[in-house]
Amino acid sequence: MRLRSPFVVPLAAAIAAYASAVATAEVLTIEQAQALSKETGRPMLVMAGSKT
Amino acid sequence: MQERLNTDGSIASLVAQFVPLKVETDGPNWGQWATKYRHEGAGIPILYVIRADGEKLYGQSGSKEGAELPQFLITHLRNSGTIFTNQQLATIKSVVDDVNKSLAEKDEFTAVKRAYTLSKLGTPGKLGSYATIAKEADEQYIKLVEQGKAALSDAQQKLTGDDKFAGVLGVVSASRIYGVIPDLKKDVVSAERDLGKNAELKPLVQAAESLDRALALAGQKMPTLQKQGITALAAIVSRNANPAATEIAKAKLAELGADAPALATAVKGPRTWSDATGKFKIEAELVRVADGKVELKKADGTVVSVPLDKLSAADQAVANGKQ
Repeated sequence: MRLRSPFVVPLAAAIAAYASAVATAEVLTIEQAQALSKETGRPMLVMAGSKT
Repeated sequence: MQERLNTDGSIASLVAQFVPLKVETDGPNWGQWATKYRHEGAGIPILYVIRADGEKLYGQSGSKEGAELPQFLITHLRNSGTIFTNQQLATIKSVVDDVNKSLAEKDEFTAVKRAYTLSKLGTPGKLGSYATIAKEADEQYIKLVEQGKAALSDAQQKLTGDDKFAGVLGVVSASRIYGVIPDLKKDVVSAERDLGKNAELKPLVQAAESLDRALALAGQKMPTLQKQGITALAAIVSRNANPAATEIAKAKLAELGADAPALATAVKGPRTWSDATGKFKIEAELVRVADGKVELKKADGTVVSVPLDKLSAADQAVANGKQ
């Protein structure tokens, strides 16, 4: 899933992306998650940890 | 905790209301993230909740286990504003687009009516979501409320000046357009009541209502409605019961490129009158309107009397123009 711009995500694209975003949370970049959160109004639940 | 978020069905409905994100503390973005969102405690994992407007609601080392996790999610959802479903967000977007379109066409009545349909999702103007489109809907609605207040205030200002009819028309028009908005309903009803109590203004109300209805119809995009409006405006010109109303009707007809005298003649002759359902129709000439009844003369010379409120809105407008 690729979003065109980190901060300007059309709502339809954001909505369409949401289902797959939930299922594949780890593939979202920070910018994508922020843009999705902004468009959908949903808060981000962030887990920060080591890659290893 | 990460695995439980992905697999525990009992908390799935809560988790689905978040945008999940994993940030690597040994990755290239960590420095920028950690600078922007400070956390408390030491060690990993670090758990954050970031509201859609970017406000950090939580940022601490350590995960949430057992019953603590659903409670944690519920607590932070409570502080995250209204969370709409995707379908609801699509509905809001559709309303915002329609309202913008109506405003671009200067059709405030339709814009207000459409904007108020959001009341099925919450309080219009106070939806309380941080979603971009919901915030836009709130701003749009608040702007409409402000426009309504300004329109009413402008009308009331005119009532104190020389052009009393313009003031009465303004109040009547504001009532029709913005009366559905709860924040304005009280002021609109109060302004209309004041008109009714004022001996100088009361006689102008009926003419203003007829003109407002005719102007609203004439401003419609649908040709049949616009034609009805033009007919009603022509009837007002023909009747010439109120000089100010006549002038406004004439100006609107000129703007629409309609020939007022010809149309007025047409109103005087036989036409098809319909009831509110559109089921019953009669070809007749308007004789007069009195005591809430319309007298219509058929081709065979017989005169029938029909209650004004049984006629279609457009025919009521035409009949009112003849009062």
